[in-house]
Amino acid sequence: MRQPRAAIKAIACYFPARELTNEQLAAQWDGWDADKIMDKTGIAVRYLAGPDECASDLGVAAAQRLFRTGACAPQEIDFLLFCTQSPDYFLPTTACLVQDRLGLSTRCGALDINQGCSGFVYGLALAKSLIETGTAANVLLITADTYSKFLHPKDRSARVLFGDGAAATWLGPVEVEGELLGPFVFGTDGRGAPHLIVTAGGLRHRFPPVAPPPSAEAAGPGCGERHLRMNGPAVFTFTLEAVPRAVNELLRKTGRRLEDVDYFVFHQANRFMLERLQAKLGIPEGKFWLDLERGGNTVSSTIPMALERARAQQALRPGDDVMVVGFGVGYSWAATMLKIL
Amino acid sequence: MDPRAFLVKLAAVMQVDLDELREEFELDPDRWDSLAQLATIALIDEEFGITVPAESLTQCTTVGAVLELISQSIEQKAPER
Repeated sequence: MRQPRAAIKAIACYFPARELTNEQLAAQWDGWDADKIMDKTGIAVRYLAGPDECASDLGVAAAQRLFRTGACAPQEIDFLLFCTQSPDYFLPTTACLVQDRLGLSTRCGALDINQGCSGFVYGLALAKSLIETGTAANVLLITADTYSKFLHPKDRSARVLFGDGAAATWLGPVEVEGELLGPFVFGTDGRGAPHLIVTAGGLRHRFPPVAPPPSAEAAGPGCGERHLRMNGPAVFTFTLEAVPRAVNELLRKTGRRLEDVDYFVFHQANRFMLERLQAKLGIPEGKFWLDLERGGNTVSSTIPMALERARAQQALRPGDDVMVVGFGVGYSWAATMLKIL
Repeated sequence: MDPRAFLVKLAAVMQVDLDELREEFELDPDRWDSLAQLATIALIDEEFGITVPAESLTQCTTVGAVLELISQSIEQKAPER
Protein backbone atom coordinates (compact mmCIF):
# COMPACT_ATOMS: atom_id res chain seq x y z
CA MET A 1 0.00 0.00 0.00
CA ARG A 2 1.28 3.45 -0.87
CA GLN A 3 1.44 5.72 2.11
CA PRO A 4 3.71 8.53 3.29
CA ARG A 5 7.05 7.04 4.27
CA ALA A 6 9.73 9.02 6.07
CA ALA A 7 13.03 9.40 4.24
CA ILE A 8 16.24 11.40 4.50
CA LYS A 9 16.03 14.02 1.76
CA ALA A 10 19.17 16.09 2.27
CA ILE A 11 22.12 16.52 4.65
CA ALA A 12 24.51 19.44 5.16
CA CYS A 13 27.48 19.60 7.53
CA TYR A 14 29.55 22.23 9.24
CA PHE A 15 32.93 22.32 10.96
CA PRO A 16 34.20 25.26 13.01
CA ALA A 17 37.23 27.09 11.58
CA ARG A 18 39.91 26.40 14.21
CA GLU A 19 42.10 23.41 13.37
CA LEU A 20 43.94 21.04 15.68
CA THR A 21 46.52 19.11 13.68
CA ASN A 22 48.64 16.10 14.61
CA GLU A 23 51.72 18.34 14.47
CA GLN A 24 50.20 20.63 17.10
CA LEU A 25 49.29 17.65 19.31
CA ALA A 26 52.67 15.94 18.89
CA ALA A 27 54.46 19.12 19.98
CA GLN A 28 52.76 18.84 23.39
CA TRP A 29 54.02 15.38 24.34
CA ASP A 30 57.50 13.88 24.34
CA GLY A 31 57.89 10.75 22.28
CA TRP A 32 54.90 11.47 20.07
CA ASP A 33 55.05 12.37 16.44
CA ALA A 34 52.41 13.37 13.95
CA ASP A 35 52.82 10.22 11.82
CA LYS A 36 52.29 7.99 14.83
CA ILE A 37 49.06 9.80 15.74
CA MET A 38 47.84 9.53 12.14
CA ASP A 39 48.74 5.84 12.03
CA LYS A 40 46.95 5.00 15.27
CA THR A 41 43.82 7.12 14.84
CA GLY A 42 43.37 7.76 11.12
CA ILE A 43 42.71 11.40 12.01
CA ALA A 44 44.69 14.21 10.38
CA VAL A 45 42.82 17.21 11.74
CA ARG A 46 40.06 18.02 14.22
CA TYR A 47 38.05 21.23 14.13
CA LEU A 48 37.41 23.02 17.40
CA ALA A 49 34.70 25.48 18.34
CA GLY A 50 35.96 28.90 19.42
CA PRO A 51 35.53 30.16 23.01
CA ASP A 52 32.25 31.87 22.11
CA GLU A 53 31.04 29.23 19.71
CA CYS A 54 28.44 26.79 21.05
CA ALA A 55 26.37 23.87 19.79
CA SER A 56 23.61 26.22 18.60
CA ASP A 57 26.09 28.17 16.47
CA LEU A 58 27.42 25.05 14.79
CA GLY A 59 23.92 23.67 14.28
CA VAL A 60 22.62 26.94 12.81
CA ALA A 61 25.57 27.08 10.41
CA ALA A 62 24.91 23.51 9.22
CA ALA A 63 21.18 24.21 8.73
CA GLN A 64 21.90 27.45 6.86
CA ARG A 65 24.08 25.45 4.47
CA LEU A 66 21.21 23.04 3.97
CA PHE A 67 18.78 25.88 3.20
CA ARG A 68 21.30 27.53 0.85
CA THR A 69 21.35 24.40 -1.31
CA GLY A 70 17.69 25.09 -2.00
CA ALA A 71 16.74 21.57 -0.87
CA CYS A 72 14.11 22.99 1.44
CA ALA A 73 13.07 26.32 2.93
CA PRO A 74 12.95 27.30 6.62
CA GLN A 75 9.21 27.90 6.48
CA GLU A 76 8.60 24.30 5.35
CA ILE A 77 10.05 22.84 8.56
CA ASP A 78 7.33 21.98 11.06
CA PHE A 79 9.44 20.08 13.59
CA LEU A 80 12.99 20.65 14.81
CA LEU A 81 14.93 17.97 16.70
CA PHE A 82 18.20 19.21 18.14
CA CYS A 83 20.55 16.53 19.42
CA THR A 84 23.39 17.64 21.68
CA GLN A 85 25.17 16.83 24.92
CA SER A 86 26.79 20.26 25.11
CA PRO A 87 23.82 22.66 25.11
CA ASP A 88 24.25 26.44 25.29
CA TYR A 89 22.19 26.72 28.49
CA PHE A 90 20.48 24.58 31.11
CA LEU A 91 17.34 26.21 29.84
CA PRO A 92 15.78 27.15 27.54
CA THR A 93 16.06 24.23 25.18
CA THR A 94 18.65 24.86 22.47
CA ALA A 95 16.06 23.97 19.82
CA CYS A 96 14.05 27.06 20.80
CA LEU A 97 17.05 29.35 20.23
CA VAL A 98 17.71 27.64 16.92
CA GLN A 99 14.09 27.96 15.75
CA ASP A 100 14.40 31.72 16.08
CA ARG A 101 17.85 32.03 14.56
CA LEU A 102 16.90 29.94 11.53
CA GLY A 103 13.65 31.80 11.01
CA LEU A 104 11.56 28.65 11.36
CA SER A 105 7.83 29.09 11.75
CA THR A 106 6.51 29.81 15.24
CA ARG A 107 4.11 26.93 14.52
CA CYS A 108 7.14 24.62 14.50
CA GLY A 109 7.58 22.00 17.22
CA ALA A 110 11.09 22.01 18.70
CA LEU A 111 12.90 19.95 21.30
CA ASP A 112 16.36 18.79 22.29
CA ILE A 113 17.44 15.21 22.62
CA ASN A 114 20.39 14.45 24.85
CA GLN A 115 22.22 11.51 23.36
CA GLY A 116 25.78 11.15 22.12
CA CYS A 117 27.06 8.71 19.55
CA SER A 118 23.67 6.98 19.23
CA GLY A 119 21.83 10.32 18.94
CA PHE A 120 21.53 10.55 15.17
CA VAL A 121 19.85 7.15 14.89
CA TYR A 122 17.53 8.06 17.78
CA GLY A 123 16.71 11.29 15.91
CA LEU A 124 15.85 9.27 12.79
CA ALA A 125 13.49 7.08 14.80
CA LEU A 126 11.71 10.11 16.28
CA ALA A 127 11.50 11.84 12.90
CA LYS A 128 10.03 8.72 11.30
CA SER A 129 7.41 8.49 14.04
CA LEU A 130 6.43 12.14 13.60
CA ILE A 131 6.22 11.91 9.82
CA GLU A 132 4.50 8.56 9.42
CA THR A 133 1.83 9.36 12.01
CA GLY A 134 1.10 12.63 10.23
CA THR A 135 2.19 14.63 13.27
CA ALA A 136 4.74 16.56 11.21
CA ALA A 137 5.66 16.70 7.53
CA ASN A 138 9.16 18.13 7.38
CA VAL A 139 11.52 17.41 10.22
CA LEU A 140 14.88 19.11 10.62
CA LEU A 141 17.23 16.93 12.66
CA ILE A 142 20.30 18.83 13.81
CA THR A 143 23.18 17.08 15.56
CA ALA A 144 25.77 19.40 17.11
CA ASP A 145 28.39 18.93 19.77
CA THR A 146 31.35 20.79 21.21
CA TYR A 147 33.02 18.00 23.20
CA SER A 148 36.34 19.83 22.91
CA LYS A 149 35.13 22.11 25.71
CA PHE A 150 34.90 19.06 28.00
CA LEU A 151 38.44 17.82 27.34
CA HIS A 152 41.28 18.31 29.78
CA PRO A 153 44.21 19.96 27.98
CA LYS A 154 46.46 17.09 29.05
CA ASP A 155 44.10 14.23 28.24
CA ARG A 156 45.87 13.11 25.13
CA SER A 157 43.79 10.01 24.39
CA ALA A 158 40.60 12.08 24.21
CA ARG A 159 42.15 15.10 22.51
CA VAL A 160 43.43 13.06 19.58
CA LEU A 161 39.98 11.58 18.94
CA PHE A 162 37.30 14.20 19.46
CA GLY A 163 36.47 17.16 17.26
CA ASP A 164 33.52 19.55 17.12
CA GLY A 165 30.98 19.77 14.33
CA ALA A 166 27.36 19.69 13.30
CA ALA A 167 25.07 18.19 10.70
CA ALA A 168 21.59 19.19 9.55
CA THR A 169 19.41 16.43 8.13
CA TRP A 170 16.08 17.10 6.44
CA LEU A 171 13.52 14.31 6.60
CA GLY A 172 10.16 14.34 4.87
CA PRO A 173 7.44 12.05 3.51
CA VAL A 174 7.67 10.14 0.23
CA GLU A 175 4.69 8.26 -1.24
CA VAL A 176 6.02 4.77 -1.93
CA GLU A 177 5.45 1.15 -1.17
CA GLY A 178 7.66 -0.18 1.60
CA GLU A 179 9.81 1.49 4.20
CA LEU A 180 12.61 3.89 3.32
CA LEU A 181 13.80 4.15 6.92
CA GLY A 182 13.66 1.43 9.57
CA PRO A 183 13.14 -0.87 11.29
CA PHE A 184 15.11 0.12 14.36
CA VAL A 185 17.04 -1.71 17.05
CA PHE A 186 17.82 0.10 20.31
CA GLY A 187 19.92 -0.78 23.30
CA THR A 188 20.77 0.75 26.65
CA ASP A 189 23.06 -0.34 29.46
CA GLY A 190 23.46 2.32 32.12
CA ARG A 191 26.09 0.24 33.89
CA GLY A 192 28.46 1.86 31.40
CA ALA A 193 27.71 5.41 32.61
CA PRO A 194 30.95 5.84 34.63
CA HIS A 195 33.11 4.89 31.66
CA LEU A 196 32.27 7.91 29.53
CA ILE A 197 31.15 10.78 31.70
CA VAL A 198 31.46 14.45 32.62
CA THR A 199 30.55 14.35 36.29
CA ALA A 200 30.26 18.07 37.00
CA GLY A 201 28.08 20.70 35.45
CA GLY A 202 24.69 19.20 36.18
CA LEU A 203 22.92 19.73 39.47
CA ARG A 204 24.42 16.71 41.25
CA HIS A 205 27.86 18.28 41.03
CA ARG A 206 27.82 21.87 39.87
CA PHE A 207 30.88 23.12 38.04
CA PRO A 208 33.61 23.73 40.61
CA PRO A 209 34.54 27.41 40.57
CA VAL A 210 38.23 26.64 40.11
CA ALA A 211 40.64 26.42 37.22
CA PRO A 212 41.42 22.98 35.78
CA PRO A 213 43.85 21.00 37.92
CA PRO A 214 47.42 21.57 36.77
CA SER A 215 48.00 18.01 35.70
CA ALA A 216 45.79 15.10 34.88
CA GLU A 217 47.47 12.20 33.26
CA ALA A 218 45.48 10.70 30.41
CA ALA A 219 41.83 9.93 31.01
CA GLY A 220 42.34 8.60 34.49
CA PRO A 221 40.48 9.51 37.64
CA GLY A 222 42.91 12.40 38.12
CA CYS A 223 41.02 14.23 35.42
CA GLY A 224 39.08 17.18 36.78
CA GLU A 225 35.42 16.47 37.31
CA ARG A 226 34.45 19.14 34.83
CA HIS A 227 36.23 17.15 32.15
CA LEU A 228 35.30 14.15 30.10
CA ARG A 229 36.49 10.90 31.62
CA MET A 230 36.84 8.08 29.17
CA ASN A 231 37.75 4.53 30.11
CA GLY A 232 38.92 3.46 26.66
CA PRO A 233 39.35 -0.28 27.32
CA ALA A 234 35.90 -0.55 28.97
CA VAL A 235 34.15 1.32 26.15
CA PHE A 236 35.97 -0.78 23.58
CA THR A 237 34.89 -4.01 25.27
CA PHE A 238 31.29 -2.83 25.32
CA THR A 239 31.46 -1.99 21.62
CA LEU A 240 32.87 -5.39 20.66
CA GLU A 241 29.89 -7.04 22.33
CA ALA A 242 27.01 -4.63 21.67
CA VAL A 243 27.58 -3.65 18.04
CA PRO A 244 27.73 -7.13 16.45
CA ARG A 245 24.68 -8.10 18.52
CA ALA A 246 22.74 -5.04 17.29
CA VAL A 247 23.76 -5.68 13.68
CA ASN A 248 22.60 -9.29 13.85
CA GLU A 249 19.37 -8.34 15.57
CA LEU A 250 18.61 -5.80 12.85
CA LEU A 251 19.38 -8.34 10.13
CA ARG A 252 16.99 -10.80 11.78
CA LYS A 253 14.32 -8.11 12.06
CA THR A 254 14.60 -7.24 8.35
CA GLY A 255 14.97 -10.83 7.17
CA ARG A 256 18.19 -9.88 5.39
CA ARG A 257 21.60 -11.45 5.34
CA LEU A 258 24.76 -9.40 5.80
CA GLU A 259 25.49 -9.77 2.07
CA ASP A 260 22.14 -8.14 1.21
CA VAL A 261 23.17 -4.85 2.78
CA ASP A 262 24.80 -2.53 0.24
CA TYR A 263 26.76 -0.42 2.69
CA PHE A 264 27.54 -0.09 6.40
CA VAL A 265 27.96 3.32 8.00
CA PHE A 266 28.88 3.08 11.67
CA HIS A 267 29.55 5.87 14.12
CA GLN A 268 33.10 6.95 13.29
CA ALA A 269 34.51 6.45 16.78
CA ASN A 270 38.13 5.68 15.94
CA ARG A 271 39.91 3.70 13.29
CA PHE A 272 41.12 0.88 15.50
CA MET A 273 37.65 0.14 16.84
CA LEU A 274 36.03 0.31 13.40
CA GLU A 275 38.59 -1.98 11.80
CA ARG A 276 38.07 -4.52 14.54
CA LEU A 277 34.26 -4.38 14.18
CA GLN A 278 34.53 -4.76 10.42
CA ALA A 279 36.74 -7.84 10.80
CA LYS A 280 34.57 -9.35 13.51
CA LEU A 281 31.39 -8.96 11.46
CA GLY A 282 33.07 -10.02 8.21
CA ILE A 283 32.01 -6.90 6.29
CA PRO A 284 33.92 -6.76 2.98
CA GLU A 285 36.13 -3.84 1.93
CA GLY A 286 34.20 -1.40 -0.19
CA LYS A 287 31.03 -1.83 1.86
CA PHE A 288 32.29 -0.29 5.09
CA TRP A 289 32.77 3.42 5.61
CA LEU A 290 35.94 4.44 7.42
CA ASP A 291 36.87 8.10 7.25
CA LEU A 292 38.01 10.07 10.24
CA GLU A 293 40.78 11.96 8.51
CA ARG A 294 39.16 15.39 8.49
CA GLY A 295 37.18 16.06 11.65
CA GLY A 296 37.75 12.98 13.85
CA ASN A 297 35.03 11.79 16.20
CA THR A 298 32.30 14.46 16.25
CA VAL A 299 29.99 12.32 18.44
CA SER A 300 26.37 12.59 17.19
CA SER A 301 27.37 14.02 13.80
CA THR A 302 29.74 11.36 12.47
CA ILE A 303 27.00 9.29 10.81
CA PRO A 304 25.26 12.09 8.86
CA MET A 305 28.69 13.48 7.90
CA ALA A 306 29.71 10.03 6.66
CA LEU A 307 26.44 9.59 4.72
CA GLU A 308 26.95 12.94 3.03
CA ARG A 309 30.60 12.30 2.17
CA ALA A 310 29.89 8.79 0.95
CA ARG A 311 27.14 10.08 -1.32
CA ALA A 312 29.35 12.88 -2.66
CA GLN A 313 32.07 10.31 -3.45
CA GLN A 314 29.46 7.98 -4.98
CA ALA A 315 30.25 5.20 -2.54
CA LEU A 316 26.52 5.42 -1.85
CA ARG A 317 24.14 5.46 -4.82
CA PRO A 318 20.39 5.93 -5.17
CA GLY A 319 18.57 2.75 -4.20
CA ASP A 320 21.29 1.50 -1.86
CA ASP A 321 20.19 -0.12 1.38
CA VAL A 322 22.47 1.19 4.10
CA MET A 323 22.81 0.02 7.67
CA VAL A 324 23.69 2.74 10.16
CA VAL A 325 24.75 2.01 13.74
CA GLY A 326 25.45 4.50 16.53
CA PHE A 327 27.00 3.43 19.84
CA GLY A 328 28.77 4.93 22.82
CA VAL A 329 28.16 7.18 25.82
CA GLY A 330 25.39 5.88 28.10
CA TYR A 331 26.00 3.15 27.16
CA SER A 332 23.47 3.68 24.41
CA TRP A 333 23.23 2.20 20.94
CA ALA A 334 20.82 2.18 18.03
CA ALA A 335 20.78 0.76 14.52
CA THR A 336 18.56 1.11 11.48
CA MET A 337 18.32 0.58 7.73
CA LEU A 338 17.85 3.45 5.32
CA LYS A 339 17.42 3.69 1.58
CA ILE A 340 19.37 6.27 -0.40
CA LEU A 341 16.92 8.33 -2.51
CA MET B 1 43.36 -23.47 25.24
CA ASP B 2 46.41 -23.11 23.07
CA PRO B 3 47.90 -19.67 23.58
CA ARG B 4 50.67 -19.88 20.96
CA ALA B 5 48.96 -17.92 18.17
CA PHE B 6 47.81 -15.40 20.74
CA LEU B 7 51.32 -14.97 22.15
CA VAL B 8 52.81 -14.42 18.68
CA LYS B 9 50.39 -11.54 18.13
CA LEU B 10 50.76 -10.23 21.68
CA ALA B 11 54.52 -10.03 21.12
CA ALA B 12 53.81 -7.75 18.16
CA VAL B 13 51.48 -5.59 20.25
CA MET B 14 54.03 -5.28 23.05
CA GLN B 15 56.86 -4.83 20.52
CA VAL B 16 59.07 -7.55 22.04
CA ASP B 17 60.53 -10.86 20.79
CA LEU B 18 58.35 -13.89 21.28
CA ASP B 19 61.08 -15.58 23.39
CA GLU B 20 60.87 -12.75 25.89
CA LEU B 21 57.15 -13.17 26.38
CA ARG B 22 57.24 -15.78 29.15
CA GLU B 23 54.55 -15.95 31.83
CA GLU B 24 56.59 -13.89 34.26
CA PHE B 25 57.08 -11.12 31.67
CA GLU B 26 56.12 -7.89 33.39
CA LEU B 27 53.67 -5.50 31.80
CA ASP B 28 55.35 -2.25 32.75
CA PRO B 29 53.16 0.86 32.53
CA ASP B 30 55.26 2.34 29.72
CA ARG B 31 54.33 -0.46 27.39
CA TRP B 32 51.02 -1.49 28.98
CA ASP B 33 49.24 1.75 28.08
CA SER B 34 45.60 2.07 27.06
CA LEU B 35 46.41 1.48 23.38
CA ALA B 36 48.20 -1.78 24.21
CA GLN B 37 45.27 -2.78 26.38
CA LEU B 38 42.79 -2.05 23.58
CA ALA B 39 44.88 -4.09 21.18
CA THR B 40 45.00 -6.97 23.67
CA ILE B 41 41.22 -6.89 24.18
CA ALA B 42 40.82 -7.05 20.40
CA LEU B 43 43.32 -9.90 20.18
CA ILE B 44 41.59 -11.99 22.84
CA ASP B 45 38.26 -11.43 21.10
CA GLU B 46 39.80 -12.45 17.77
CA GLU B 47 41.67 -15.53 19.00
CA PHE B 48 39.28 -16.90 21.62
CA GLY B 49 35.93 -15.32 20.74
CA ILE B 50 35.47 -13.79 24.18
CA THR B 51 35.59 -10.31 25.64
CA VAL B 52 37.39 -10.12 28.97
CA PRO B 53 36.32 -7.52 31.57
CA ALA B 54 38.38 -4.40 30.83
CA GLU B 55 38.98 -3.66 34.54
CA SER B 56 40.46 -7.12 35.09
CA LEU B 57 42.71 -6.85 32.06
CA THR B 58 44.04 -3.40 32.93
CA GLN B 59 44.99 -4.73 36.38
CA CYS B 60 47.11 -7.57 34.98
CA THR B 61 50.80 -7.04 35.69
CA THR B 62 52.27 -10.08 33.95
CA VAL B 63 51.65 -12.07 30.79
CA GLY B 64 50.82 -15.06 33.03
CA ALA B 65 48.01 -13.05 34.64
CA VAL B 66 46.59 -12.24 31.20
CA LEU B 67 46.63 -15.93 30.24
CA GLU B 68 44.98 -16.84 33.55
CA LEU B 69 42.27 -14.22 32.95
CA ILE B 70 41.61 -15.67 29.51
CA SER B 71 41.18 -19.22 30.79
CA GLN B 72 38.91 -18.00 33.58
CA SER B 73 36.78 -16.05 31.11
CA ILE B 74 36.50 -19.04 28.79
CA GLU B 75 35.28 -21.19 31.68
CA GLN B 76 32.67 -18.76 32.88
CA LYS B 77 31.36 -16.96 29.82
CA ALA B 78 29.23 -14.21 31.31
CA PRO B 79 25.51 -14.74 30.65
CA GLU B 80 23.91 -12.09 28.44
CA ARG B 81 21.61 -9.66 30.11
